[in-house]
Amino acid sequence: MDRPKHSPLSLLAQAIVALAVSALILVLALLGYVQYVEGARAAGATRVEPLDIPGESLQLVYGTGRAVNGALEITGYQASDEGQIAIAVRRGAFSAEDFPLLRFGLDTDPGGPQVDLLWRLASEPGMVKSMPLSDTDAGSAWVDLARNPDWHGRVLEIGFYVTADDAGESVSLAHLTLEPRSGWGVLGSHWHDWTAYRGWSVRSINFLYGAVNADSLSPVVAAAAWSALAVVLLGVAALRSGRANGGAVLAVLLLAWIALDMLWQHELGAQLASTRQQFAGKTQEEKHLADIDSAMYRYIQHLKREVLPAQVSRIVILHNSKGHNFDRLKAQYYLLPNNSFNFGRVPPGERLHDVDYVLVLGDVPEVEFKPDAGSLQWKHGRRSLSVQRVDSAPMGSLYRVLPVAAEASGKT
Amino acid sequence: MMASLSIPGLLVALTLPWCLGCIWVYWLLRRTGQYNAFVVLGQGYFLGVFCTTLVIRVWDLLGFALNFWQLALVLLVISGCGLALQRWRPGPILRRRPEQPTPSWHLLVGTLLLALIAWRHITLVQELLLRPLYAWDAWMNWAPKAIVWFYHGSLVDFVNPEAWLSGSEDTYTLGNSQASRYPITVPLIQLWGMLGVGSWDHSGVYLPWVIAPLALGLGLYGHLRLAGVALLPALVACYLLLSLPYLNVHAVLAGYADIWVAAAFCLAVCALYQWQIARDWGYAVLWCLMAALCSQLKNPGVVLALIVLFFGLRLWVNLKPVLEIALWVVVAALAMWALVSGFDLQIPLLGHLAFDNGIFEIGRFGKFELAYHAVGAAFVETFFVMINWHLLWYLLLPCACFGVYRCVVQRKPATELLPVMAAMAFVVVVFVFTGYHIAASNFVTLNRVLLYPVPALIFCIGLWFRRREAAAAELQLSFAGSSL
Repeated sequence: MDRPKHSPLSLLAQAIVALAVSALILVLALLGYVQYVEGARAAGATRVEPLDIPGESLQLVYGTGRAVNGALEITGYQASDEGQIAIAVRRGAFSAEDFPLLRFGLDTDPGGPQVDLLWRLASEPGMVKSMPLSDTDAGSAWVDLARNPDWHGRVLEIGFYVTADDAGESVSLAHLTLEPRSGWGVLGSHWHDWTAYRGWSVRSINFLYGAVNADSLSPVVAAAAWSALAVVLLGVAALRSGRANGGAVLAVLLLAWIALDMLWQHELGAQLASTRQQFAGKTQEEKHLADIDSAMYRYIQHLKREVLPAQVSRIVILHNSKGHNFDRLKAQYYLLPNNSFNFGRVPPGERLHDVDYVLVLGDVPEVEFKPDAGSLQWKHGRRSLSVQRVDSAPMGSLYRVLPVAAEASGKT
Repeated sequence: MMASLSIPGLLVALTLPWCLGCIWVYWLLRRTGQYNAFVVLGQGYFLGVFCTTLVIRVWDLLGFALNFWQLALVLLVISGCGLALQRWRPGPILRRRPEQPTPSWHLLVGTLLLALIAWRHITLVQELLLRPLYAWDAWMNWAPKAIVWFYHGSLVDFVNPEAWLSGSEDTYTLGNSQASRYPITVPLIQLWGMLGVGSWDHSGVYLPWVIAPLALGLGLYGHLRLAGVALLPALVACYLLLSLPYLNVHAVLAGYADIWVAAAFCLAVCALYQWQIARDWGYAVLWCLMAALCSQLKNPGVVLALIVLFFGLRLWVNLKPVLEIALWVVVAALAMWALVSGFDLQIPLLGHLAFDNGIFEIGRFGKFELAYHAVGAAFVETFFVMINWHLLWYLLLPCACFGVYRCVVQRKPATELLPVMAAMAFVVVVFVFTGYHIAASNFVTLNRVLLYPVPALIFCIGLWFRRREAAAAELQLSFAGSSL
């Protein structure tokens, strides 16, 4: 006699139960491993109490701030080479090995200041160690400090290092809590690694880690283990009941995929919030000025609007780099539709056929401008090109190639 | 650069090629009786975009300045010709396969998946429109050509740096010395958007990069439904494809060629599959066109186009299995002999083809030193650790086992998989046996090349969920086709 088929709702229920049991088993396994296996290894070590550092107890070294509900709200920054910075620390030594886990809370706007954890080691008191922290939406997040190779020995001070593009950007530093290793802490650190905002990088187009750090547990591996165990559980259930439940297996796989996809959607949503903060309501020009390459854009627009002629020019770009360099390639892109040759540190050859300008981006030691001779010289002065400097700025210098020089430049 | 934007121009630039393509795909397929609206929309978008780039090339060749509305008029005339042809030569009435009623829970789950796809792509569109051009190769290799052509109103030549130094004032070169030789279809897609928008510096130019995966999804769904896959598994296949983070990244960080190559190859495989079933010439034309598009997008696309053409030819010739095996043995023997003794040939269109002392030379593609490189770890990491492909490669392991079981035990050879497996073999050979192993180890191009066969792979796996009666009908049609 044929057994009745499972109803769709029953298949879904089986899949959800299997996934729930699978998740429970994996979580218990992790908690058990940390508690008993790692705990056994650390047997005999003194158990320390968590070290709680409320934001308001931090000492501001750079910048200004005020205590708000136990947190430290940064209200002012100090200008430095790296932008507007604020540093708040807690002084007092402790052993890094006693506190492999960090629980922290901070609240920033999307696209707001970059906040790093900073610490100083007794073994290298002159060096400041750091690692980036991400917004925790006013709650708490865990970080597994034990994975950081610089977290060892005696720590002299610990705190927050805040870098802002704009002095008006706000950040609230709620707390730092250093904790001994615990299963929940490890679990929390994995969750934080998967859900913390990562943002685009120039490498995003090539590959995507699903976590903050490359050495974090991959959410893909976790989802695969989670769904595989659920499938095994369904298989065991099918063997025991004698009823096939292939539909529930497919549902498990689809649900695990959707769960993983929600993590990715969360990242895309956070990225969009940050992008809105950066670009929304701006003209295209303003967007470029708010972008990561704004300095280069501003410089090239200055050249195009105030120095170069309206018609297209032939330009040789020189830069102290080999291969594909971001700055020099962006300069070429923003110079379009000007016609650029963008290779090398020195002008290409003794003759420059129909070249109008030479743009020296940044400092290029191989090339030297001799104002008295009115020439660019390279190869220790053995080669030269008659030019007129038409613009000089911190980003670079633009030289107009003199017509006679373009025809007869060569050995001096 | 900061010219005022033309919203009507942008809308026409986005929709006119799509309409044109749909009209002509419909014209091609309606006489076959084997189509649906999703196939027409999916294949139509890529055919329309391809046709637009060809019109721009011909227009420039004739010496006319590139003017958006004049080009749009030409596209409108081509669309009108397609419509007129359909009026004058009506095709047969569409043979609809009797559909089983779709259970309501299928519709419910399907709606949820569509909502997830919509949520994802609304996010992507907002991100794309807000952000200036971001992806590295987009502004280094592809967009500069379009910008220069937009400015000059003609397809000015791009040459290598040496030629630039000794060439005329009218030629350009790029910051990547290789990029001047890249095929020009992707810059032409960008140029068309720029002409429509009236500016080269607007994110709207890159909207086709979000539309392309959606059109691919429509095509995938349409072909699966046409093959007899039920609504829910066809939608699941679409969701799996359109939720892939790596595909999403190539949509939102727009401007690369790879998403177009992947789509053209997938739709060529879909058309090839449909042609294999019923041998309707409309599908033969379609897979030839998609292969041609593939070859015009990026250099690896030439190899993918050759793969499609080879398997199309194989289906057309339809040799008996014994004869085919004998032929493969001869080809393998000849290949071994050529590798051992070396060869040096001049092939028309391709150029110099030679193999000597472990170095393989293929015309304009350059020289490749063949040697084994251990890049397995990079493959494992991208397949199973990174989030690029979600759980796709984990799911492929049981799928591969099922495929072998289906092929060996159930004696159902998955011939539709052959072009995809050939494309996968191409990926493996390139990264394991040539200097490109570095680009695999540092992940610079590994995933980009893996993207090419992935949509087609999802199509092939989706086919395994055909209804039994559809599979049986297909088998009958296949036999009928093979006896022609």
